[in-house]
Amino acid sequence: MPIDDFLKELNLLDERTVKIRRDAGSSFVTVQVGQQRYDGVIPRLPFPLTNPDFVIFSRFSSGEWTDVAMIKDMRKLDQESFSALKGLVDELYFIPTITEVLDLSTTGDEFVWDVMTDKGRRKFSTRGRRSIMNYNDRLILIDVDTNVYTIDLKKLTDKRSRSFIQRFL
Amino acid sequence: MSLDAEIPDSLLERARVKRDELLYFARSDIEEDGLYGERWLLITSKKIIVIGKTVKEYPMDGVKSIDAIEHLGLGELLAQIGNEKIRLITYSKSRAEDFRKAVILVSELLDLKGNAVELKVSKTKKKRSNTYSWLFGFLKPYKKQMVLGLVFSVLGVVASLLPPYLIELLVNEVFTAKHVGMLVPLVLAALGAYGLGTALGIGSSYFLNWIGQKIIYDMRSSVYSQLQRLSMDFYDRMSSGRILSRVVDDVGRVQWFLVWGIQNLVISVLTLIGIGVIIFAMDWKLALFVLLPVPIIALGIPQYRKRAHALYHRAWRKWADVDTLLVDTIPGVVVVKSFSQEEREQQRLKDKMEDVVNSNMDTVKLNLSFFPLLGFATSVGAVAIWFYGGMQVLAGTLSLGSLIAFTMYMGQFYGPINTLTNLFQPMQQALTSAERVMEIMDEEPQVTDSEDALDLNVKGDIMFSNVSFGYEPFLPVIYNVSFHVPAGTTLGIVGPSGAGKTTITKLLMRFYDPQSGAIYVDGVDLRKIKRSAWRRQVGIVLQDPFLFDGSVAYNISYGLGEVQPERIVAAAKAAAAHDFVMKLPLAYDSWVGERGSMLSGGERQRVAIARAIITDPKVLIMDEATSSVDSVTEKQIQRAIDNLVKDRTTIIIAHRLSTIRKANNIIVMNHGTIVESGTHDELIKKNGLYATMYRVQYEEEEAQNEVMARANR
Repeated sequence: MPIDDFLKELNLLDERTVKIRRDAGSSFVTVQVGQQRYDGVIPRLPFPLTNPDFVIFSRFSSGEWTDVAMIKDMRKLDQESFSALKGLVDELYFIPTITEVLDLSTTGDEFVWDVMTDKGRRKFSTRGRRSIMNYNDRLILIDVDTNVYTIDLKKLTDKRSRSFIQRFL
Repeated sequence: MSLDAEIPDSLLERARVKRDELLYFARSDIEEDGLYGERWLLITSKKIIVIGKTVKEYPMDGVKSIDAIEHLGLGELLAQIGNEKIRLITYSKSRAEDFRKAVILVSELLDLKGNAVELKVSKTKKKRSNTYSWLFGFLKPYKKQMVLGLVFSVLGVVASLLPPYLIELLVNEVFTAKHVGMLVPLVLAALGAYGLGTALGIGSSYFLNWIGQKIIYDMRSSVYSQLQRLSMDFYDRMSSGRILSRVVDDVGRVQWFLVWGIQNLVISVLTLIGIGVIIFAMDWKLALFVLLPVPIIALGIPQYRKRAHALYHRAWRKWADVDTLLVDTIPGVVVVKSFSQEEREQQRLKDKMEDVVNSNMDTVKLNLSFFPLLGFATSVGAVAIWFYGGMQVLAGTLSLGSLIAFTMYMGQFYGPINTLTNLFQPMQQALTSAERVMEIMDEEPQVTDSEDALDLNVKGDIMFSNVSFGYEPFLPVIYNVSFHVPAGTTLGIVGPSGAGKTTITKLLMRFYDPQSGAIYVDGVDLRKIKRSAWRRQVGIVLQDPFLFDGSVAYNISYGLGEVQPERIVAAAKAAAAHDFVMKLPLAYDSWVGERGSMLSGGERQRVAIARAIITDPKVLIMDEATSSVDSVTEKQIQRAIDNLVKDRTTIIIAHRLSTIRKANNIIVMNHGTIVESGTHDELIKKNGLYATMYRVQYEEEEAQNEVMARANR
């Protein structure tokens, strides 16, 4: 079977025709496409680091996930739908952005970070080469407890932070 | 052996064979009594003749079969004549190729293997490039910077020659003649000379370091690109540890030679000339003492180089052995631990490291037998100058300032001599390293694109026509294999281990070319299709798929550059991989680890299937893709395979016969040939090898199911 047939089965929606409403007080959203309505679906990100705007809508039942639809770019949704979806995605995918590196030291393969993030100050350690990944101009840090942090290198403008990054990484 | 080669007329007379009757001959290097000597095998259309101390003839019509059997260090030609197996001739492994060829020829004459074949082995004469011209080729792009660096170095040398002259003036004019007014200008001039030397040193170091970094970048890129260009036979011959050792360690040593070695060489020679001129001008008799160590240098260095060359080559080989062991055992740590072999592996490494220590100690001993002697000779020269010069000062024929200046110049003169002598050792290391890198650079790929190769879009019709191939020349692994896979259909290949199944996939991928026969794709000889164009249209999944140290998405889209994300998801869904990928912490952005170590065998296999199908290949090859997974995973993979084979030419090499039941055609291979073919039902009816294999597997599975059922009760 050609790959295009599998592509059709993905149910890739046109963002311009999609309306998304968050179900109050839950992790679910309702996706409306014309007359078609998907209730109680959970947004999942297949590429949370490299393509965080690609969203799969899935249902969870008896320990199994079933994908019902997906969108390539949530930024193309209307403002209301985008806000509703983005709000929930940000809750489910807790990836603080580091805005300032206050201190960085190393002992062999381990880095000890003291940082300011958009969610507040945090101290953590990363260990091993795979705990610091560089995607274009974005660093992804995974600490020893598997928490994920990100640094947008273009937006990291203060001298001290840049000096730490240059000196150690 | 080519018939153009010489065979003595006396032999033909003894064999009573005319030259034009002779089809083939081969010379053995072992006599009948097992000692080294000479025997000959002659083949005509009527008989086989073996000529040693006696002449033995075997009529061709009595020969039922012939085989070349190879043992340790020895091969023998065995013929079935009547009911007897007769040893015709023995030979050392150096002659094995000639006798393997004889077997093929006799088999053709007896028509034992069906159609006649002619195995072609292209033996390209190994290129041997000049190491120096290769090395200096890397300097060419940076000529300007190199010249600038050297100019800075030369000016630095000139600046370093000034202070002893200024000291001479200071002692003679200020301290002895009391011209006090000259003190400050002389001190300032000395300060200026040292300052200038420091600045020029910084300049030359900067340029030469910059060039060094550029050269190592160019050299590693060039070696790596050569490694990518080489075909699979090279990797069959050389272990990855040895390759890594050459790319990393040897290239580093060569870089040192090109930058610091040449710089030191040039500066030292220039300094020697400059100081030589000055000291001979000052006092030629005194200067002669400076030349005392020169005979030792002139005689000793060639001897040293000769011995050092062999010792350093051996030391690098020992290091490469350590690299190979590490490359082998660290990725295989699970096996080592499972078999509690930690201590044994430690011991193996210790043994290899001991070899390294011993080899290095041999080089140390060599260096100690030469360099201290040289150092002593220079010291004797210095003492002689103090004695002879001191006598002249006391006699009033030489000023004290001149003697002090002379001894300062002498110190500077021995400096470059020491540098030069010390330079020979690392230069020798660097040159042996360069030779090792050159061995890779001189390799020529066996499989190449012809100039008129086509960039063909294929439909996927595949035909093997009388294909024979062996990894060793004239030792076929598959022999006269012919089959046809119409576009869009599935062919199953089964057979015992060593039957030649995987070799078929390697030939189809064009990792190797057939030695006889041809493979046609849509009626075009595969050798006439550009390899990149062909491989782009083929997807392959191996028994033990290799994943790179990157994310799942990176591995699925490997080699494709920018890929639409939905295509990655679609390929993963088709390969039944999506569900487990979405359960990973970072889903498709999750890192799979070195060789995919963070995934299970079945997960790796499904990622590999997704990678094979994302490009929508016209031809899909599955080489025992389900042989190493459990039955639940096998079912998931089977579901994936069922999805993929529709309307796609698919070749499935199967260990589990259940995976090819639906194939349009199945070929059964044994000992490199096709022994049966047909659909599953047809082969079961034939009750041959396939039916036997199927029954064995079926009974095994039944027994397994029974055990599982009992366990669940």
